[in-house]
Amino acid sequence: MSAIKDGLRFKTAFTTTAWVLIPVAIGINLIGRFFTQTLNLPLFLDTIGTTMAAFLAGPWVAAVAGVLTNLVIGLTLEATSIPFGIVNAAIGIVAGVMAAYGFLRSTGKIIVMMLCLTAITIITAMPLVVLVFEGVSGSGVDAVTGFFAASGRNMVESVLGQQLLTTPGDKVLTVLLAFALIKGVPQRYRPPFGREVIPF
Amino acid sequence: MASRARRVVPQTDQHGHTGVVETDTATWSPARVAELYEIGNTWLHRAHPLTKLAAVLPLSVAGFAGDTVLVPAIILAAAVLTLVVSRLGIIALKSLRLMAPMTFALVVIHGIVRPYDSEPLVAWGPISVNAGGLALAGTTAARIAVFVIAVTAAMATVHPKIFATALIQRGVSHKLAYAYLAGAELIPEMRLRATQILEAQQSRGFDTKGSLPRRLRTLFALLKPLLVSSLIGVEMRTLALESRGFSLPGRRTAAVAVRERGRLLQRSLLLASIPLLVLAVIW
Amino acid sequence: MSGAGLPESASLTASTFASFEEFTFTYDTASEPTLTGLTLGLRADQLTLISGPSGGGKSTLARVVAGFIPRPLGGSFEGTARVLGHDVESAPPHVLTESVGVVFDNPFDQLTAATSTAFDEVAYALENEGLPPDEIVARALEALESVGLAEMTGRHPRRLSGGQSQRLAIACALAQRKPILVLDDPTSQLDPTGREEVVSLVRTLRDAGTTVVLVAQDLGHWLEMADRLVILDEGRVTADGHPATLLTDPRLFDGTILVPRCVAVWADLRRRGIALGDTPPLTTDQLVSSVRNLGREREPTP
Repeated sequence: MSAIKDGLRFKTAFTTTAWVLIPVAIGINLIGRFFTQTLNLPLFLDTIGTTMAAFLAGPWVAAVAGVLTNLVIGLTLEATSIPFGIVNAAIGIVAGVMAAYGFLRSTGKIIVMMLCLTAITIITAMPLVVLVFEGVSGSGVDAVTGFFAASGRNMVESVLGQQLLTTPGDKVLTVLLAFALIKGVPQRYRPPFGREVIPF
Repeated sequence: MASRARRVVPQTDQHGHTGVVETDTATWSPARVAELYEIGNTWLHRAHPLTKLAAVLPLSVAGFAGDTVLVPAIILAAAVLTLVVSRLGIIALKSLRLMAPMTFALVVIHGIVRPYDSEPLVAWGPISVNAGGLALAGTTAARIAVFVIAVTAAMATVHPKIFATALIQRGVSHKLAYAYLAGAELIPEMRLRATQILEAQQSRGFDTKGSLPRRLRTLFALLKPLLVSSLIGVEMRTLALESRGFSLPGRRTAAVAVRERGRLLQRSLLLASIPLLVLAVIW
Repeated sequence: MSGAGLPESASLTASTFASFEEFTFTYDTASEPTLTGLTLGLRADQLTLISGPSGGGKSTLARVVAGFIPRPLGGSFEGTARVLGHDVESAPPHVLTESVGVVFDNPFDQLTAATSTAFDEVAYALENEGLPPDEIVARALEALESVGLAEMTGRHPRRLSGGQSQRLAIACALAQRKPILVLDDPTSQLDPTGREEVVSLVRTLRDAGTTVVLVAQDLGHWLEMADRLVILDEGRVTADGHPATLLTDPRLFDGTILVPRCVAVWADLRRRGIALGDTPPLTTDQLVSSVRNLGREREPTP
């Protein structure tokens, strides 16, 4: 189980493999984001790569992948995504820690992980969306927020309503897709942390 | 921008150091390097990359001063004017275009959709526009736009590699810089792949009318081989990087070094954010 | 480049840069060893061609020489492996990767993926070594020129053809002035043009006296430039010698290696009682000329 310990410790988590994995995670995040944007889906799916990095290399590597994803998008594409790096990193940390503690070993535990990821997303995204962006994100989910706002609810309630409607589906899909991706990679090509948290 | 001939020569770059600089990209548009990057040689291009980045903070904080659209609007107008005068109007255009969906959502939600007790500004059938809501939408959009235009102006005038070099020279981990550059390289690549897959799917008429889960499943089936092979490629890239001194201890140099200057200015800009923050809070 | 001296072990001759003694290696994820009791010495200033069936241990051997085993590729081993005088188990970090250049089979996965020009790709390793900017530029341009990519310095690495990309990978090793080059099936994923580009570059390097360890499943283009052929099967050396003498052994024609057509024709004719010389031709040209000679010998003198 030493690989799990190494992945959980900041000092030992960043092997060369981890650094190479980070851009791959960023790329997978980007793919999910481009698809949901182009198809105008009420989803984000922009943390599949972060979640995958969390399962393969642990929380700290995933957190860096998360922050860098939004930084890369922010600095080369659209600046508004930079603050949401916090959300992306938090997802990576929660997914990585839970994976290390065996939450990928049974269906029940995976469902608990999906719930926790939903919760951490809402907790970290809410203050940003409400305080900085006055409830909007510039994406498809704004329609849902608008629906709640139209019914006379305040912005906190409207954003919370929108998040509660869209986030669970997003996180369920994210975990399932990240899991399916890793299952497609033969054990021999998975980093040691990934081999131990998903030993099949 | 896209039709000039590619010419690559060893030359002295804008920071006074010799190196090989790609002066233009005919078949490989600058978008390939980074979506934002605009090749040029304006004063903004010549400024130290970190000075530009440091300027983002005080500008964005100042945008929050007052609770009306006034201050952010003035900063925004000044920024747009400066960019246009500097022949960088394209950057202003890109930033404003970027703001369009968010501004639209703000106006619709706050100006139209939310119910208000006060008299509407305009009423047109079931649609009524509220003045207070519109003002809130405008102020928020202007504040965010100040941040967006500052970041865009800072980053569109520096080649990502030069930006990374400037960071490494100031002690940022070269490994982190590697991950950033590799990530930035991926944006156009992934967008291209995503577009290709969608086009292929649409031209074959696959499931465009199917249910959402079904469409997602088809998409994932198309994407999986690509993503799995990029994960399998991690091992080889790891070895290749080891072979190229990725883990070597010691200081990094750069073929095109960034001339060290503007430290005082950069610190001043960051420090200036503090009084501005105080001002923004109390005003 | 420190510490990469000549081997001190008495069992090695001065020109042997790598030696394996009863070396058995098992990857962490495997249950069976990939190399089994391997005993072998590799000589400097030679092109050693390593072949054999897939899974026979060729690439693993290359990775030991390149300094990737036992770290960062995890695994357990018995016996000893010494490269450039260092035991691979106790060698200081980086000492082997600094002296041995590697080119893999996949032309794109071995690029850094973080550069936007071929020049930057070559410069990357030199920047990591901390060389002064002037030297980085000079060395990178020189290396690109020596692999025939002088016109491509500003081309995006992703836009190079497979053959150009492999030459770029070789340029990276040359720019680092690495005395030993390990090529792990460098042409297996290339089209015929790309293959020819890489083959002729390797020939040039070999003629210039570079030490090359070349792993290849298909011997076709490499036989005539190889100083030595080593066949690995199930992690053991099953044949070792000069290609021309080695390929007279009929046991090698059982499908263990992909025998080039010229050798196969020679062997087939020999079985049917037509002798085209004692050693097989290593190129089609050699085959053609021995057939011509045979024709002349048989022509009835008027």
